[in-house]
Amino acid sequence: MTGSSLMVVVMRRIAVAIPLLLVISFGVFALVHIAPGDPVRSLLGARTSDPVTLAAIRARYHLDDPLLVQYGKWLSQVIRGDLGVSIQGNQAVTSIIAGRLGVTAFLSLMSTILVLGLGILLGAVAAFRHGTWLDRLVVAFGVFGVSAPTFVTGIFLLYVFGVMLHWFPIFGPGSGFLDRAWHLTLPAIALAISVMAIVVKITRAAMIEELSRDYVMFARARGLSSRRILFAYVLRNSLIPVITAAGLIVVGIVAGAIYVEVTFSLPGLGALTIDAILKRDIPMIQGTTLLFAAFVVLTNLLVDVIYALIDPRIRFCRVAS
Amino acid sequence: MDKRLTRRRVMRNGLVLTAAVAVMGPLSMASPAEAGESIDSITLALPSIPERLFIPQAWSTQAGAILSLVQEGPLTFGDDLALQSALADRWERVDPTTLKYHLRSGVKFGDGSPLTADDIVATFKYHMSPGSQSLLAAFYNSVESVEATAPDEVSVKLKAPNVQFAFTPAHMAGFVFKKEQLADTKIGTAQALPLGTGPYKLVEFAPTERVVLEARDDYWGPKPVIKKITLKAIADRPARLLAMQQGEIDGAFDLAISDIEQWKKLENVDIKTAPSLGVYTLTLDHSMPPFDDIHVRRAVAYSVDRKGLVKALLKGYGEAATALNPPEMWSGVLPAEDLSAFYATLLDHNSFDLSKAKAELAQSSHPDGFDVTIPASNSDPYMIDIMQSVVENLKQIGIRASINPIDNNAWLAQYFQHEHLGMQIMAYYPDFPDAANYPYLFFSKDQATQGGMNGSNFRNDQVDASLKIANENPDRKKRADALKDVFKVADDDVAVVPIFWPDTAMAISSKYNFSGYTAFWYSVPWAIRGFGLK
Repeated sequence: MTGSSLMVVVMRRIAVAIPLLLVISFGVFALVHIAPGDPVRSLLGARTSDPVTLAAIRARYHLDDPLLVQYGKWLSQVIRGDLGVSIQGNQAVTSIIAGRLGVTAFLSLMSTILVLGLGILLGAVAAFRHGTWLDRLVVAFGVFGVSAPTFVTGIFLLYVFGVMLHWFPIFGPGSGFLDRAWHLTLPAIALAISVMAIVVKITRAAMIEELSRDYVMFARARGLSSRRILFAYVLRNSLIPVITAAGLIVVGIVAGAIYVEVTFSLPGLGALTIDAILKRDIPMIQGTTLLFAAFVVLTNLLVDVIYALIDPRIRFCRVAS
Repeated sequence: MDKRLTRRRVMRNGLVLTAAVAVMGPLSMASPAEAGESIDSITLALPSIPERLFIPQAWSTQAGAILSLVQEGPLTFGDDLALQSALADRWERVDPTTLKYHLRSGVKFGDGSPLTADDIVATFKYHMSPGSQSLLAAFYNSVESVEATAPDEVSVKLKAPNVQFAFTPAHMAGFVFKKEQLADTKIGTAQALPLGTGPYKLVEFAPTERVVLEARDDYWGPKPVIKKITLKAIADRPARLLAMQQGEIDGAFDLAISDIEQWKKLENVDIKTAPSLGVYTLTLDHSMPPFDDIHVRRAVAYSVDRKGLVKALLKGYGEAATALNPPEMWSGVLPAEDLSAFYATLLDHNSFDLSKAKAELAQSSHPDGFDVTIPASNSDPYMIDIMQSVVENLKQIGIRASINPIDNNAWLAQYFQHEHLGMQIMAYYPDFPDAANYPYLFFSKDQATQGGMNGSNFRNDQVDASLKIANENPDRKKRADALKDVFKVADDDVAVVPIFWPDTAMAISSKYNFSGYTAFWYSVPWAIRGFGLK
């Protein structure tokens, strides 16, 4: 495979992604409109209001226009790189998102490292000690993690490591790299636990299969060390299914971040999205969902590229078709 | 002259309503700190911190909790909820439609610049201008014009006599901005923190996360005891409790009453409660069957176990409602003893009696009952629980009721849409304590429309005439008589079915005293209201 063919495939995928994002954004827009509620009500709560002011606010956000007109106005803004102005607090959506992106990115990255690092390690250990108590323990841990809701795991971790042991803070995102890492450790673990089981199981299954292959037996017969067999051959070959699933895993982590951010009082994109939905802040909902959708598309593209790089047998034309 | 006596008299007189009432100076507003007593820093939790600190566009209790320390209005509420002087050291009602506010001298904004009458005029005009789209514009609907009539005097001309406007300069709608800042489109963001004349200034603002406030040395009033206040957002209720347990916060505002027992179990934590002046009530659409029938409405009224709900949901932190107005709302209009005598006359169908309820339904045009679905907000701490109890009782008398739990926004939107109202539940917390506030919202014809609060579609000419007297006439006796008439008619006709008046609660480390916690804590500079070391 040449570099230029890779470029062509990437460009083609991006071209396909644009109509997809349009469909998603219109879908979300339509759903928010179908759902009962009124964005202006969130501003006022249970209060009566001055009709003239109310009309002015509705006009500013084009809330009384037909759905298609509203969507068209939003889209023409987006094409110009402007996500509009939030209804809550009347601020640029892009600047609010930019302010929140850091926490979610940090949390998701930390969690991804935990999930992939620890998940692959545990999966490998379980496969290598296949059938032993250690294997069963790892699998049981994975099942427990995937079954426990994140907000329950979160409160449990908070209680044990925050309140009882005083090792970690209870809330807030911290400032500066080290302080933030310290503040986000428990949230990242809570998030990782819920997703890690998938990585553990996939790695374990793939490795068990690889370990039973002839080339492993030959390697053993040649007297290679277990460590070399594991790391140089088996692990690399077992990673392909993990990489395939990595796209899903990363997306799962970002989606899970929504719960975790609320439980740990973190001002991230997830908490922002929830709040925007509860308040029917249409420009804000559109902004964050567009970002999430673009992230999912790009992650999957990236995974496919890595996939091809790890296993040269896979041709892009096949992946793309 | 004895200041206490004056204050009481002022309050009795409907606060304002005699000409040229001089209100007390700052020293009476809070017990001054003991010499040398000071607290370096405290951290308190709020359920959320706003995205923007600009009340005209982000109006909430949380914004008030922060900005009430930074900004002040011409007037404020005392610990007894009566109006007190703040930026205006005196004010008077020149005639029924003209109010004059005389500015205290030597008041400065947080940047050191002096407060002028122009700042107050600019603030009022900002809210009044449709172009600025202030969420608090409705509080200025009755204002014809506002102008600086002297360098230290602001005059407000009303379109018609309006007693309730007297409160506007005391709550969030009256918080005074520096004139130049109102032109800044970034005001309220971290780049342009709002200035005010209050005891604190904003030094740090991380939107939705935290704010840091620092005490001002040049504040005109009592010296703040706490040097630095940090307010942090902890949205999750269990997480807030854990943060208190671990000592990461010194207290928390806006506790759910249902959590109080858990908070009380923590060591070294005091719980402060006060009547919230809020009310939970059912509205019944008088314009449509089945609630157009008085017997059906009475049947519903008899089916609400108010005392049981107060005990079960509020754990006693609140009162069963005998009428729409909590007793504190009558302050300045009707003395407590007269009020309880009056409310005792309304007791009849606000008591829980299922056999009377059955008898009323049997007399109605729907003796076999009917189906009704009541929408309720799933984020309100009590609404769904209240409705579960009410629905069970209604089923016992033959009304097939069910609850439709929906999110808060959908619930609000459908209520104010004012269509297919049927039976609704409403929770309302007022912005100021005036006896005419609730009856105007829930009983007047003006409000029986889209966007209005009168979900019962209650229309009664006698009530509207009496409300007009109460809204326009400053005389205490005339107001009291008019409002008693309103409540009597509304009660006879079962205009609404009041349920309870909940308390408001906060937690504070027992190291500290905090005597000034009231229903309107978020509209007053709470940190200088009896806050100190024990």
